[in-house]
Amino acid sequence: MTKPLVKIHNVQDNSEIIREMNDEELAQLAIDQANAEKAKQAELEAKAKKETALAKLEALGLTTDDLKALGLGG
Amino acid sequence: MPTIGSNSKPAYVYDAQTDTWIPVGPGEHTHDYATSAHNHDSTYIAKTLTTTTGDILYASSANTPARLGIGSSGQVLTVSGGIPSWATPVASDSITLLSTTTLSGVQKVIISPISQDYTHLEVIMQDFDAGSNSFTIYFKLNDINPTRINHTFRGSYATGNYGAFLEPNFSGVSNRQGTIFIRIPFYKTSGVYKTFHYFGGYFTGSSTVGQHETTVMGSAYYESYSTAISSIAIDSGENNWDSGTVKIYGVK
Repeated sequence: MTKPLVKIHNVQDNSEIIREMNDEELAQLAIDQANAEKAKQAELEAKAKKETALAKLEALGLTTDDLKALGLGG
Repeated sequence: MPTIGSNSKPAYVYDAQTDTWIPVGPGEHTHDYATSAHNHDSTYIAKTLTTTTGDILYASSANTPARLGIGSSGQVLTVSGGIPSWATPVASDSITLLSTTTLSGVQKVIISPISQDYTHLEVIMQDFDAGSNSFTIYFKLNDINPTRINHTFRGSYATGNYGAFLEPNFSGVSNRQGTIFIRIPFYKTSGVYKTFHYFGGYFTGSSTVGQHETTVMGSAYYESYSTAISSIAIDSGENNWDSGTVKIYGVK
């Protein structure tokens, strides 16, 4: 499997080195990706819950404006 | 030329107004300007007042010429005590481009060493794009994850161990491109826990409702981390950058 490439730009002499990600960087990337996935799922779940709640409201003949009028839902 | 003996002598003309004989022409002689009607001292400024290159003449009081010597390089002419003088201008905020890095052909870019001669840093990720690939932007100071990120837009992830701009990376998204501005205040100041603030927008190219254009704004915080920032890392998370430019500016 090809490892991701990293470019190190030395801005002092404007030189560039391109190398493969080392083990430490690969491990950190795996952590980052797992956390990003977790956050993505949390966002999707929140979005799905909101849509479900809106559907329930609609079934009751209510809108978000009705909730606001009751001091609920911001 | 009147000559007596071997030395030249001046001729004399009579000034009836002052009843004096005035020497004229060659030959050694003097004029009593103090009493003479031909006293030019009150009419003209002696060129000998300027002694040095760059000298400026001004009036130190009414009818009183004075010399102002040239200032040092970079000094500006100003007024002090009612007379002109040279002074060093007070330094004002300035912004300097420190580096320009291309985002292309690699997944991660590390930019270093960052000059420690400024107070704040400003970073612009300009026209970044991963082509048809999806990506998540991990922006890190000293290649270290912040301990807390708060996205004002795109929801709020209270804590985490990931880089900023957590783009949710929906499937089927392609041709993303955008520009994001990041400010890193007091990036080298010891004793200051490091932080950065960002805002910007990007086009996701997705047909999913609400995913076409995305704006992001938020802050990241490094708890108990006061090390000076000498490098910045930007990782696309999963694919190579297709294009884009990262510019770092130093702000004084």
